[in-house]
Amino acid sequence: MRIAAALLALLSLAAGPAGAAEEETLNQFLVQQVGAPAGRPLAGAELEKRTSEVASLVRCPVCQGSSIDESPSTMAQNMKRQTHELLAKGYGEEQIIRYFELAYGEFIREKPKSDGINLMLWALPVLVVLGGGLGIALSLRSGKRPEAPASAGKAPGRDELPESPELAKAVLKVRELAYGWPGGVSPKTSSPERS
Amino acid sequence: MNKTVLAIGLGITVPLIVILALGFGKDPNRIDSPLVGREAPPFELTPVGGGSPIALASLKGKPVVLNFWATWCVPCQTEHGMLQQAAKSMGNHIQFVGVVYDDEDARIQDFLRRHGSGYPALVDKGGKAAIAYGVYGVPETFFIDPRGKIVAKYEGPLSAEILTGYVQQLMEAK
Repeated sequence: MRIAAALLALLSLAAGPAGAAEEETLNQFLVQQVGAPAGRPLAGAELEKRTSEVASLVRCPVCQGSSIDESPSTMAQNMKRQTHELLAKGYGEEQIIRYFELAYGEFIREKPKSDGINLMLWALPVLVVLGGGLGIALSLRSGKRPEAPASAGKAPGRDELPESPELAKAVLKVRELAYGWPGGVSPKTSSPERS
Repeated sequence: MNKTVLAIGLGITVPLIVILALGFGKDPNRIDSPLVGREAPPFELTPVGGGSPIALASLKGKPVVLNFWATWCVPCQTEHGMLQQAAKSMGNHIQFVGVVYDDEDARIQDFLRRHGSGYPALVDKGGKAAIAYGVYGVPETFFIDPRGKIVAKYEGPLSAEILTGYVQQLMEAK
């Protein structure tokens, strides 16, 4: 942490002190953009810790997937130094990120806000899964065949007779002729069954 | 096919295809500046070699071509001559301003001595002006109308044709 603080101090020296007029113009612009400092001015170890924390939430505009906290590029270092200065003036985390966002767009946020189009991106996979599940359920339901009656496909027994009296009479006649049973009734059963 | 299943399928796939089709039409490296259409961030920067700071506010009333550049940037060297010529021919109507990013005073002065200096070159120490303008790299050029509103931003080296197109846009905004 001490090394990081020394490095930032060196970077500030290398950048040179900004002129009073330049500083005043920037201060007025900052207040106009994000309002007056919302917190208390930070200093010492707390300032260094918060600088690193806030910088880790800001994407480096010239790098591939790294924050301004970890990038060695000049642009990232400049932005980290400005984060340090703003925290020392009492600006809050959201004010600082918002300031960068106004210049670079929402892309600069390492953690995009979950509203607007972003909310749709978060919700879309869930909607796709739910929609797919619903589609499968509806598809299975519409393709389901009605249950066959319990007797379906079951061959009638040799001693069973149809319910229709005419048909039963015909069946008995056939049995008498075919099997030689008197009256068409099986000798094993005393009375024919009806199915 | 069941109509409900078809409707759900289309409801999911059509928006996805539209989003992808719109995305494929764009350069993935290009991110539109949120500053276009908004008031240009004010600055007050010291010219190379010293002197009184120049404020953007003092240039209001005239269209401004604000060019971020550096001596170590090869594309900036490419466009430098053309910008000098343009400033010479359009200087009565348009104010050209250069903001030098991440560079050393001595090197800038040497560069301007060798390649010409037709308009103010301001030093952005610490890169705060570049950050306020959302600069990714140099060269980047902003076109600011007489009321101080950013009309357009161009990333990369300008050609005379591209510059003329943007200047026309600026004059129309007048």
